This record gives sequence, C-alpha cells and structure tokens, in this order.
Amino acid sequence: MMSFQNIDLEIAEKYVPIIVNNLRNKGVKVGVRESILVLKIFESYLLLDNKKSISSDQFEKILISVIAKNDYEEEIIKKALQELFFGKEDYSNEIYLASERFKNKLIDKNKLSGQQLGDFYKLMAIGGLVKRGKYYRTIDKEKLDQIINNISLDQKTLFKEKLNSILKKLSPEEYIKLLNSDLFYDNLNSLNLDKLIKIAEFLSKKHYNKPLNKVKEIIKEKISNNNLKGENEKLWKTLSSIGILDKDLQKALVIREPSLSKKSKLDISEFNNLNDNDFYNEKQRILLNYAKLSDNENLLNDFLNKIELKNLWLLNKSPIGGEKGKLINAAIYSSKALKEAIEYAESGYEGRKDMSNYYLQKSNELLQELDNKVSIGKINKIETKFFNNNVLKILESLEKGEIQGIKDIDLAIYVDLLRSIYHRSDDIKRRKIIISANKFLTHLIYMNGFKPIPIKKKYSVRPGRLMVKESVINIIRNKEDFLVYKRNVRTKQIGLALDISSSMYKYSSWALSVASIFIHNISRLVLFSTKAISYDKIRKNDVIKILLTVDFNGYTDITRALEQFNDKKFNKIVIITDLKQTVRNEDPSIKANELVRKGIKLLFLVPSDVDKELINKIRNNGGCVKLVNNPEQLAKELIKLLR
Amino acid sequence: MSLDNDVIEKKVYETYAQIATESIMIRNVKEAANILEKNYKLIVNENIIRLVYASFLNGRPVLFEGPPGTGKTEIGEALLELWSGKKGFLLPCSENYDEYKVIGDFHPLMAMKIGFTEESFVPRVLLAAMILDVGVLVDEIRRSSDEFQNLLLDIIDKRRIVVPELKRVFKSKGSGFQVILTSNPEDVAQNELSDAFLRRVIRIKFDYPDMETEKKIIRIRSFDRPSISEELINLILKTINKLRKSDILHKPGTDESVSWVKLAQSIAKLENEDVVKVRHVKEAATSLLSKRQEDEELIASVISDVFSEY
Repeated sequence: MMSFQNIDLEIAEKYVPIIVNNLRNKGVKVGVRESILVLKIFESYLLLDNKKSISSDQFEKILISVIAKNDYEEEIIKKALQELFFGKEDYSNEIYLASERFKNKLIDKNKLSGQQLGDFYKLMAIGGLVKRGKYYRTIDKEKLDQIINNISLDQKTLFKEKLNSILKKLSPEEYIKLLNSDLFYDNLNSLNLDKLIKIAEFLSKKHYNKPLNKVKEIIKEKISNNNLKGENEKLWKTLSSIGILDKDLQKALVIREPSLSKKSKLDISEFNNLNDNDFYNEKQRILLNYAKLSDNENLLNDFLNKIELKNLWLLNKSPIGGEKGKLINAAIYSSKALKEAIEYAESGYEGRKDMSNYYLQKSNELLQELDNKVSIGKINKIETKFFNNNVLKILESLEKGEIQGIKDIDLAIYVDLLRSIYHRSDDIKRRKIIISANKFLTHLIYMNGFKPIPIKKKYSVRPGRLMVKESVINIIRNKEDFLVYKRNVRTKQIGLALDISSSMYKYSSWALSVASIFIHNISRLVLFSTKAISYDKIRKNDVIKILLTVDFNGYTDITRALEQFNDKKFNKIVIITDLKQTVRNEDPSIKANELVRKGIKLLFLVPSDVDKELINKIRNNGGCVKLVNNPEQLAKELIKLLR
Repeated sequence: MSLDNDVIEKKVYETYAQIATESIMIRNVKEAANILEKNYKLIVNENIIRLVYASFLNGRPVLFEGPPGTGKTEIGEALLELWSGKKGFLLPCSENYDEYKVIGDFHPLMAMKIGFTEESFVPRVLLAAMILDVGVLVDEIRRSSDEFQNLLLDIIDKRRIVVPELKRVFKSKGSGFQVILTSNPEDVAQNELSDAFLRRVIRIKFDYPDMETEKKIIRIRSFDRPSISEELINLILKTINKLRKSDILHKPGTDESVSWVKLAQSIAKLENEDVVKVRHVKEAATSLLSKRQEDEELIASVISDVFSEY
C-alpha cells in the first residue's frame, strides 16, 4: 500500500488532478466529472466519520470505485498510485546511492563517464554538490541526509525537472558520455533534433547499434510530430550524409514532405497501406505528388500498376488528357463511388448513397465515350465497368439489407460490408446474411482449389465421381489408358486463434477476412485480447456469426491464447495476430516452443508490416510465420499450409 | 400541491406505501454495520457501507459488481432501507423494460374513455419510489437494454421524472430516493455496460468473503439446533473454496455454503439427531451444489477428495 498514513483534504485536492492526469496519459478515460466526484466523495467520507483525514487504503478505494470501469483500469490505478507514492522512496534510494559514491571525495567532472556521471548530475540536481575550484565535492553529510530523507512528492518532480534542464543544456559530446547510465535513455526525448542527429552520427560511426536504433526511433518520432516547414530537405541531407537515413526515416520524411518522394526512390506501394483516417491529407498529397512525377506515359503506366484501385479516390483528376486521361478519370470516379458506398454502409447516411450513385453515373458516362481497347496500367474499360457494376450491387444490397451476388470484390471489403449490414439488421435478416456469407465464402474457397480438388487416378480405383470430359481428353489426346476421377481432399480440423486486441483494430478487416477463409475447418475458435475465450466444436455458421459481431479492444496476450491449446486435441493451430504482446506474461515464443515440442504445428498469419525481430523470434522457436498481404492469395496457398 | 388533491400521489400512497413500510433510519457507518449484522444477519465491510453512504450523499448511483451468491442484492436492499428509513423497492431488470413499465402508463380503457389524464395514469415503481422518497434496487442491470440504462441515468442525475403526457414534472423531495444497481460481469448471456454508464456510477466490487468471515456468516445465518461442529464447517468451506477455483460453470457463493449447512441441519433434525454428522453433510452436498449436469462429476470428485478421511 501507499506510504502516506493519512490523507487530508488538502493533500487530496493537490494530488487528485496529478493522479487523474497521470491516468489520462496511461489511456484511462477520466473526465472532470470524475475528479470532482472523487473529491466530493472524499469530503463525504470525512463527514460520515467526523474525521479530518482518511486512510490511504480508503483513498485508493474511492479512486477505483469512481474511475475504474473494469478490472484492467483498476490495476492501472493501483499501479499509478504506487508509482506516485512509492516512487518517492525509490528516488531517495537512488540519490542515497549516488551520494555514497562521492562521499568525502574530490570530484573531477571531466574524468567521469557512464553511471558515475549520471550520479553526479543527480546529486547536482538536488543541490548536493559544491564547487571548490576545479573540483566538486558533496555538501555537509548531515545536510545531505536531511535532503534525502525529506524528498517529498513535489520535490521529486521538481528535482527531475531540474535534472532534465541540466541534461538539456549539455552539448552532444557531453551527453554521449552518459551512454552507459540510466539517464541516457530517459532524457533522450527532451533533446532537440540537432543534438539528436549529432549523437546519432557519433553512434553510427562507432557502430553502437542498440542506442543508435533508440535515437533513430526518437528522431523519427520528432520528425513525424514536428511541424517545421522547409527544413525537411536540409534534414534529409544531414541524415543521409551521416548514413542513418533508412527506409523508415525516409518514409516519415516523405509523409511530411511529399515532394521528397522524388529523392527517396521509395515505391508508391509503400504507401498503399497508410491508414486512410489518420493520414488522409498526407496520403492524398503523396499520391498526387507521385502522380505529378509520373509526367510521361511510361511512368504513369508504372504508377497505375502499383497503386491499388481502391486508393485511386485520393486523386482528384487525371494528370494527363486524351482518351487515356478520360479512362483514368472514369476509374477515379469508380473508386470514389466505392469509397462513398463503404461510407454509406458504415454510417447509414443517405447522402453518401446519393454521392456514390452520382460518381457511378459520371464514371459510366465517361466510359461510354471510350473505345474498348484503351488501357493504361492496370486500368481498362471492361474492368472499370465491371467494378462499377459491383459498386452498384453493393448499393442495392445495402438498400435491401442483404448481400447477394457480389463476388468479385475484395474479400476484406466484402467482410466489412457484411459486418455493417449485419449490425443494422434484425434477426431474420441476420440469418439470411449468415447464409449468404457462407455461400460466398464456400464459393471463394472452392474457386481457389482449397476444399475439393480433382486428382488423376487409375481406372481400377474408384474414389469418387467420374469426370467425363477430363477422361476423354486423357484417353484421346494424352493417349493414357485410365479414367479421371474427382476426389475430395479433406484437410484436417484445426484450432484457430484470432487476436481481437485494440492494436489489431487497424487490421480488423484484414484479420476477419483471413479468418473467414478457414470457416470450413475450424473446430475450436479462440478469441483473445486480455482474456481468451474459447469456443469448442463450433459450427460453420457460428464462426461466421462471431466474425461478423466481434469487437476489437483490450491488450494482447498471445501466451494465454496458446495456453488454450494445451490439451493437444489439435495438431494444427493457426494464429492470426500482429505479434505485439502488450501484457506482462511469459514470452509467447517460449510458449510456442513448448507446443511445437509436443508435436503441434503452429502457423502464425501476420500482416505484412510486422516487426521482423518478432517474426524471427517465433521462427527460431519452431513456429511457422507467414506474411499475408491479402486473403485471396492466402486461399491459394492454404492447401499446402494445412496438409 | 397537497396530498389531498394530487391524484397521482394519492394513488402511490394507496398502493406502494404498503410495501415501503417504515423502519429505523441509520446514517452512521459503524452503527449501520452493527444493525446489519444483528437485524439483517449480514456481515458487511464498513468500507463498503461508507462508500455507499458517501455516494448517496452526493446523489450518485452505486453499482455492485461481483459473482453470484455474494450477497449483492440482499446487502443493497438492506442499505437502502437503513439509508431512507423505509423499505426500498426491487426492480429486477429485463430486456424489454421501458419508461411505461418503470415510470407509469395509462389504463387503456380509462384512457379511451376520459383521455390521457391523471385519473387514467397508473404510476409504477420508479415514480412511486421518488414520490415516497425510498430507495430502488435495480437488480441485474446488464439484462436491460441501453435505452433503459440511459433513462435511468437521466432520472438519477437530475433527480426528477418528466411525464410529458400529463405535462408534469415530479421532483424528489428528500435524499431517500437512491439507486443501487447490481450486475454480474462474469455472466455471459448479458449485455455489456457502456463506458458512459460506468463513468456515471460508483462501482463497488464484491468478492467471495475470506474463510473467517464466511464462517461468521454461516454461524449467524444457520439454525442453532442441531449443532454443527467447527470441523465440519471447515470441511464445507474447504470444498466450496476448491470448487470456486475449479472450472465448473456455476460456482458456489456464500449463499450456497449457508444453504448447505442449513440443509444438513434439517436432515439431521428429521433423523432426530442432536448433532450434525458427516453423512448429513455429504447427503446435502451433491443435490445442493450441482446445478448443471456437466459439473456433477467434478463436484463429486472434489467432495470425495475433501471428505476422504471421513
């Protein structure tokens, strides 16, 4: 528990805002209403017991009861309180250790480095050092002890601030001396970009990779948060001259200054996956810039080959004129129509539907004027028409509230649409939706050769239905002497674990569409975030229902998900996740290794931008990791993976 | 408006005052804890009472969360009664609750005859509680719809009920009208509470009591005769605690441990025994503890495990 014995109104009034602020930083939603209520309840406690203060336990209880909405927030509050009140003791310990190091010694600052230097600055911040000529020494022992014993909460923050301001003023050379102390990483954030670049330069020269990566990370963060205009080119030059301008930094810089895309030689496909909502403006600017750069037809052809059609809506109009320009414009309108249709599905706002119809009409008008042969990049007239038809079908199904007949759209978009229609329908319609989803997915999986595939067999064996056409071809054209039968190849039942934590939110449609490919084979479905829910002997329609209704929130606990398969009932487990474990539990790779040793095959399906280190860790422990760009591609390879 | 000429208040007093019988009002925490133990046979931590009272002082609803059988409903009712000095109302939630079912609706025949007037209006629990100034315990709030939860929050927040058909606003007259909500977050078949809702209530978590407290509860809630030995109670609690940590679907609450002892006592009494014996306890166990067929095997194994030496 906390170190304060009793808390009176004065302390409470002082600390409630600090605690609330602290909690907000940790992601707990606390409004002004709650902080006022905490104080009011506090006062009522005093009134009820006729006392002037309450115990720290009671204070903790009030905070938890008023603010925490669930057990996790309760834990966060407990931890925050401990940090706030316990942190004081830790800090005085730190200072005490520092003072022990320098007791009764003359200190030459220039000879110090690493942790010694860190301790020196810590003592300096609390005013524990005096200067004697060239040297420093600690102040009177009694005075120093007094300071250490009386470090209170606000003094702690004050000291930390002082320390921070001392470190901020250091030159890069001086700061690098701190390399092996705890202060080096703690205060990197407060340094300005110039100093950070200099430090990075030094580290890269010496090949200190670990601290260099950290510094790079902070530089990247600063670049993406910072709004300095016009300095980007300069920054580009400096970073590339010291050789730390890697792909990530380049990407961060291009997002800020699209005109740098020419220098970067980054592929437009790098930016296809940028989140539409967070980077709306940036994405548009980058695409426009790339489009601008593609000033001749060849480049434009290349550009249109690499950009996804559904992203075309970000462009306003074609950069070139003529017939091909018209075609591009038509495709842009089609893409906009799809975007509006999806928005309509999500929001149910009729205006969106009208907009979608309007774009469709525009696109079709343009297409009518064109010849069939015109094409550029991936775009041609027939495909665009087809695309428009699909958008029209989407709009119709949204109106009727049931999806039927849309077969050639992205699986991810399809799943998204189903989810939003499902959400807005009544029970009878929901049943229909599940049936149509089932049909569609079965069709898709069948088309990609996953479930039943024909295999050539000799006449004497009759494993399945006779395939007349293939047999005739086989006998007459191939001059072989056996008939061809169709045989159903069955894959085994698998266990599937789907990550539904909040970090997966941005991959939600990806994850759900990938999971939906497995519907025929899932017999245990585990949904995991902070908790893991396991559904056993589950049927196809139930899987679909779960996929249509599941919400993404909570932390990620992959280890717990793997624990659900301890009973060895399945020898193949598919895990769909982003591999980012965000709770303190055993490392998932260790658990994975344990399962692999038991003879269980683990297949991790991850989105393509996952950290390579995490992937290697799992691979080294015997798990198979597959980067999946789109579910359709996965469906084609599935039979190999599951056999 | 006095009681004589207000039709609705008159109706409320005629029907609901029979339920809201007067008792003593206690707003001192220590005293309340004593009375709860003596009169209600409930052992409640003073901290819980203090937090509930403090919330009531600020007019905030309290949410009791915890597994079944931990006394949420009973403690809630008792606290509401002690706070307002009158017996409170219980409102067991269901999915289709709306304002007509909790505030009041119109008698269809009378409304056809004389229109939507105060004469044809039939007040319901929530309005009655506000007029009578007594507390309401909303049981299993997770079973209700979002709309109902929002309606409830609005009423509690502003402490008034608007009946637009009558063009009337009923305001609470004292501090007796308070709301305690109960919910069991582990129950799968229920709705989730929204963040907005949780932010407006004071959340108090209930858990199974520790051994000593549970022993005390069993002692005050079971019969005096036939007597049951300390050793047997220990065995019962050991079994119950083991089951709570196991994988069974229906985990036994304090409620079950008390009923177990009482059932064993009744069996002993039927056999004209003066002291409860092991066989009585065993006989009572299986029928009382297993609520689902899937659990039977596990429960039987735990019982035979604990009682192996007897």
